[in-house]
Amino acid sequence: MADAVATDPKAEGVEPAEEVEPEFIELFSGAALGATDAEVITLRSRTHLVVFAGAEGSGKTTVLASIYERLNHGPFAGFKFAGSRSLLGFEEICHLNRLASGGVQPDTQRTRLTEETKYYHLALRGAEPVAARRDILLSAMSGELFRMAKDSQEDAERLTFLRRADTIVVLVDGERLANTAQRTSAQADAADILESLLDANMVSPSCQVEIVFSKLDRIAAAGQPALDFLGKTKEKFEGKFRARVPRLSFRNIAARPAPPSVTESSEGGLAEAFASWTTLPLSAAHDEQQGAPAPSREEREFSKFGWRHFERTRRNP
Amino acid sequence: MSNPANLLFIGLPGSGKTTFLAALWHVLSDRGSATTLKLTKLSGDRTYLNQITKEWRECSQVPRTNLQSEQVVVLHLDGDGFGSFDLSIPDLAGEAFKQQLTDRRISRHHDAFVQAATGVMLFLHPDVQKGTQLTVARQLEATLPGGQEGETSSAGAVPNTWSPETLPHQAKLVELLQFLLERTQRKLRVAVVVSAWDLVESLGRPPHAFISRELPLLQQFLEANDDLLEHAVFGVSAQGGDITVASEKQSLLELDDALKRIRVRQDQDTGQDITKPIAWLLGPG
Repeated sequence: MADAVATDPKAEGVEPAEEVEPEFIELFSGAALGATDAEVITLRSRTHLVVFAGAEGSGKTTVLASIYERLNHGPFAGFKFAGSRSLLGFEEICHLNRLASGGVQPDTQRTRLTEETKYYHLALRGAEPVAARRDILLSAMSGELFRMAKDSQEDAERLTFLRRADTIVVLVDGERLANTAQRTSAQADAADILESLLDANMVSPSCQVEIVFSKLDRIAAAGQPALDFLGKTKEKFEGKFRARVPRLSFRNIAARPAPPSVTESSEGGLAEAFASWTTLPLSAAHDEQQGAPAPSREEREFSKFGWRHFERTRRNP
Repeated sequence: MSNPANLLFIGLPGSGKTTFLAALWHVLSDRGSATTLKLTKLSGDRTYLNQITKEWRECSQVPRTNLQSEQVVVLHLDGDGFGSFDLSIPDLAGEAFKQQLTDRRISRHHDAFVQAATGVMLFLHPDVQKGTQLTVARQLEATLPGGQEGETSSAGAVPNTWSPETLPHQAKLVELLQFLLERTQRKLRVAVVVSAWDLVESLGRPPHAFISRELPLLQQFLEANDDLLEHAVFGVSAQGGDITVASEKQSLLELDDALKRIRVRQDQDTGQDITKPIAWLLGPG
């Protein structure tokens, strides 16, 4: 192309043409966010970052997708949906649980280890009329990534943004916990992940860490021995980590419970869990009211769009 | 000199934008019904309005606007408390909004309409694609007599690949409103118009309750952004019935006055004033 311009006689000695405005204006992509775009969101307000960590199949993405799915039905956990910069990203991970997917069984697209860490954004507003907007970023990370971070500087750098996590949810696969042949491994895998998180300096003193036993319906269905093992697992974690993790807590959930275990009043405890994961510590309440500097001009187009929108949405009602 | 006002009609293909415009033009030019806004004089070039309104008067499908046939219509209006004003309405193709969702860009031409908009009408057809979740479908199955409580066979079912085209309606409409917020720098009024209201009228719910039930994500978005978007919901039956059903079409044609085809509902009030959503958009705050 450059050659063509150089040999074009008409181009010789001609004043540079006025820059033609592009016919189209780019809009934000709507896909799951990379770390750079996620960081831009944190610039505008005290954004709450919730990281889901767990072994493969522990239900990280399912929990993340389920939060969006619940909002699709109406206000959830005391919040109304006020927007998302990653609506398409959410829709993509929800696809396998949609009739439109052509599938039969609810499923969730797995988190791929090789990809850049993805962030999913939610703008929420409390149900009460005077409530301010809250920005939440959610991310699902494989336990393997934390293990790799111990050995590789490059992998450790991938975790930089995640070190800001306000809440880390370590998911323990309830289905494996209910299986006598797999339960010890499931317990050890979760402990190993938390250990790796601590080694990677991911857990700040103010970071809330919650060990969440997922697929509670499967544990309950397996009977009392499975529930007893669940209790013992909690005791083990308490003894092993309490001293190193000041804000350690435990919870059982069923993000996407199987039909026979569901009643109208039961929603698997996800709403209560989500409200807890997104509760700001008292020290952060002040920060939330503070402004933040605008991103530099070099920020990507999305970032500028995002800033402009957020500047306006910062105004409390 | 008249004050200018600009409306922006937003909606996916088949959401009723052009049919609304055709019925509006018939009502205004007929001058036979009590409307909040009235025509002060005929528009200059009425070719396009006459063309779409002819189809409406014959109870035919008003042709969808395509990207090549987009037009801007100007109406010279007046109303108590409004004064005289010229209302510009670009009749944009639903295809353009669909492309915004997939291509993630807006043409400068359309963006100029966004920037100039005094108010926005968001159209949606009540036959919404809800994006039903398999979890919910299976829960429903389990509660039905004879419903399976065990594992459903998934043999042979290969899920489709996800694409933005598969987005449920409510996600698409939220995204279009997010684009709008992205591109504008001021608070906007949005009149949400549930078109073909006759299809869901018998359910007995007011339009805002319809949105709340069928498109809860959109409803939350509108409510949670009330500092940026002031909204009202209208149910508008511009055709008066299902013109694809021969008997219904015949009944509509046999009405002694075509104005009787139109019904507009807001909250509990039902009337025939098709200018009501526009008057709300342009009225005092």
